[in-house]
Amino acid sequence: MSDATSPRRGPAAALSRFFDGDLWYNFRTSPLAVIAAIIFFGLSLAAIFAQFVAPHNPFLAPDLMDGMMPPMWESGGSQTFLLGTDDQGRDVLSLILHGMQVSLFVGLAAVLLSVVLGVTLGLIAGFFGGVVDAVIMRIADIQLSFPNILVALLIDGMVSASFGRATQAALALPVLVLAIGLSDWVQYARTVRASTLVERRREYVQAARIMHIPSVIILFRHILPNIMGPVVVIGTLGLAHAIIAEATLSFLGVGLPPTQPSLGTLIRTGNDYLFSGEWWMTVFPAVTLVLLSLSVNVFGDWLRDALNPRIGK
Amino acid sequence: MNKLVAASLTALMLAMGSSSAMAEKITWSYSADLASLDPHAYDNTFNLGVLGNVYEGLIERGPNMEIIPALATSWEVVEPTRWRFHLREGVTFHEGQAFTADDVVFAVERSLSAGSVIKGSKMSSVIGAEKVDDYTVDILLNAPSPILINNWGNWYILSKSWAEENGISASPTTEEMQKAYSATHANGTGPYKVQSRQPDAKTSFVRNDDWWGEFEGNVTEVDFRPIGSAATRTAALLSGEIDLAIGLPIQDQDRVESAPDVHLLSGPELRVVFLGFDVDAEALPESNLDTNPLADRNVREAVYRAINTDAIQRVIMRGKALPTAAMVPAEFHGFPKDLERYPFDLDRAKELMAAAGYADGFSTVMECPNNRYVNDEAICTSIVSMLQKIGITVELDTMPMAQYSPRIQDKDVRRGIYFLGLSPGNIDANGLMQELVHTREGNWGTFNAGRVANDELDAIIEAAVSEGDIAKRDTLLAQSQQILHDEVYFVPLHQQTLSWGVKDDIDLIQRPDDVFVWKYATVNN
Repeated sequence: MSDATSPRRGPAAALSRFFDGDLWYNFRTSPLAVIAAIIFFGLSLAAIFAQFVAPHNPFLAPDLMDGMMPPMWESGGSQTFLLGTDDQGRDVLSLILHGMQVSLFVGLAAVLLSVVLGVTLGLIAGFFGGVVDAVIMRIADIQLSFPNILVALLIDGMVSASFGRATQAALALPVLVLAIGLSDWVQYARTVRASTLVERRREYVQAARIMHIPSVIILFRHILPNIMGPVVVIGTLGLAHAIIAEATLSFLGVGLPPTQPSLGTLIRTGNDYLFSGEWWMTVFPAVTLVLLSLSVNVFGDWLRDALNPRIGK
Repeated sequence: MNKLVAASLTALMLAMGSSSAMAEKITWSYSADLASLDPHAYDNTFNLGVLGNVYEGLIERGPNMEIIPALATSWEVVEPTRWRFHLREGVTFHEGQAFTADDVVFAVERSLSAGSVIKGSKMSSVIGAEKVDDYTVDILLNAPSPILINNWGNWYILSKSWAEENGISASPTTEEMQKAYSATHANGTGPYKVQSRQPDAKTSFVRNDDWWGEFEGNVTEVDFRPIGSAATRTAALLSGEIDLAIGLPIQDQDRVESAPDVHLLSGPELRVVFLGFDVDAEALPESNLDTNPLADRNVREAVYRAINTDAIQRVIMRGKALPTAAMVPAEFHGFPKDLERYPFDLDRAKELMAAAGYADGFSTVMECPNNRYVNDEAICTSIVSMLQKIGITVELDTMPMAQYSPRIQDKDVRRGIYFLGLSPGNIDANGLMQELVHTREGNWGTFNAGRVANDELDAIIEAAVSEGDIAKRDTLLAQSQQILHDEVYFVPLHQQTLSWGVKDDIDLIQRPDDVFVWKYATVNN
């Protein structure tokens, strides 16, 4: 057998296959997608390595006397604080980097949670049909009739009411992930169910059934890989949505405590100073939030088009 | 038929037009909602201040805090422990009940009950009340109290028969009081009636045209709308959505002063904000230490010296606060004007920590309200950073005043450090001592959240309550303030300033305790 006909194996080969493939070509030739990807990965790297990149440590006792300094290019600004300081004397740039880390973590974890939940329930509903399908999809319909943010608020409220004050602050992060993740699983479930309905009539599924392969294995080994395309697309778009949901909840004051910077809490605290002219405390975190969610959205849009065989290029 | 509809519509519109032209309405806002409509359930100057427009007491405080007769027309001291009050005749409650001595006896009883949170501030030395006749009542004391009525500027009378009809108990627990019928319904004798209430959104009041007094102002309708976000409150004032913002954020004062049609009203407030410590030697719950470091005077002085009040005053308060070494405002009787702050000195603070055996520091919890005092949350956050510099790791727990206030008065809750600002209604240094410093027992120490128990102070405080000779009493007040300072039971931060943003077409009186009295307000069209 020659090399040309045998499938190449190993991660290096997979990588080179990816770079030879249509998707990469499509990406390279789409300037908008490239720009969005650069912004998103740039921001993500800066956030992941915030501990090393940030010029100051916002968790280490700031000096109140440095408070309310404007960005360095304004009069009264200082070289030490590139984007100025907040009301506590913390460096706004460092706060944004650390805040972005929290926002990204919450966003990714929430998307992961809703993907796992939505995909599993969608697969089960689509594959087994009947009563199981009806029950799962009616629950999904009910939840869909509530705005997502309301569901998130409800979960947040219930969890904080059932735990004591002391544990509430420590639980803020997981609760936020739970609240956003649980409010967002429906669209994954619906998409996956629709795809599964199509796939389960395919020959390969029929064949597997005849061979008495257990349903669980058919679902996750055979069907799942074939329906992941749309899930990846919704997941990407869902990330932008989850980041904004985190910011919204924190802005409303039910997210993270004020001592733990996230983009939402930064915008909230800064918002109090909009009228008094200290715009940098809220504008910079807000711009970062816009850049982050916009780049994810643009990238997700491109991915949807690229993975859709009906929109040929 | 069409003509008839058209005619009645026109008539309706005319009627509506004329009534709105007659209504002089004020819409005003504050950072927090009323915690309750019950005048005995929360001891909070703001809450009681609003209710003072609906309910009335035997006396009231005038525009400059002077005492004026309200439901009592006159009073005399029959013997040192028995005061006789002659009540105003012909007064009715909003729901029609006649006001009599029975209602006063009922209010005294309810205020003295085991669960009452106001027995320290309003009922100090009071042990009961006796009806003499329908319009005369005697208040009985366990010790002479020359300034008894000074405590009653915001102590109000409920209707006894209304209370009995609606299951409002005369001896409720604290929790029952918070959930009573009277927490959501009001029936006072005052110049305004509650018309409708949506918690956290809007409470509407209308003028009580049957009120016994003379209205100096012309306001017929009042809407109270709490707005939590500082920026939104300022925006609402600037856009004309509200006529008055009480607790205008200090960062927005310049903006309001330069804007057309609105102006700023400010002045010193009768309130010092401070940090309190739990000084009980027993280890705090959730602490890894087997003793409470804050029971050590040196540790408390270290905390005092680690707090940079100048920075707080300049950056957070923007110069709109008066740093002080005293626990009471300069306007109070018994203000210790010669006290000086322990200066801000981090090195000395670290030495003191080391001397107390905490060179490596410790961790503790700090409780702080987030919608009551000027920039309360920002001040607390900055203090967390300041204490970090001397090795004290503080976990900050902030909450709205509706939760914070009952928590502070709950004697079973312990916390390391707490942030508070009291404005005792009697405008007297001893008023603060009775509520905050005296060992918590009976009517004493209802705000003693730090478990301060100092026999010497208790004796001085009790003596000052009964002392009739002003010079001797002043010596006692000075002594107690000095001990407070020497023992560092508290870290006074600053005296707050009032900050109201008001529309130009409204004339009103800004009382120094930050209370808005509607009957003095006038809307000019």
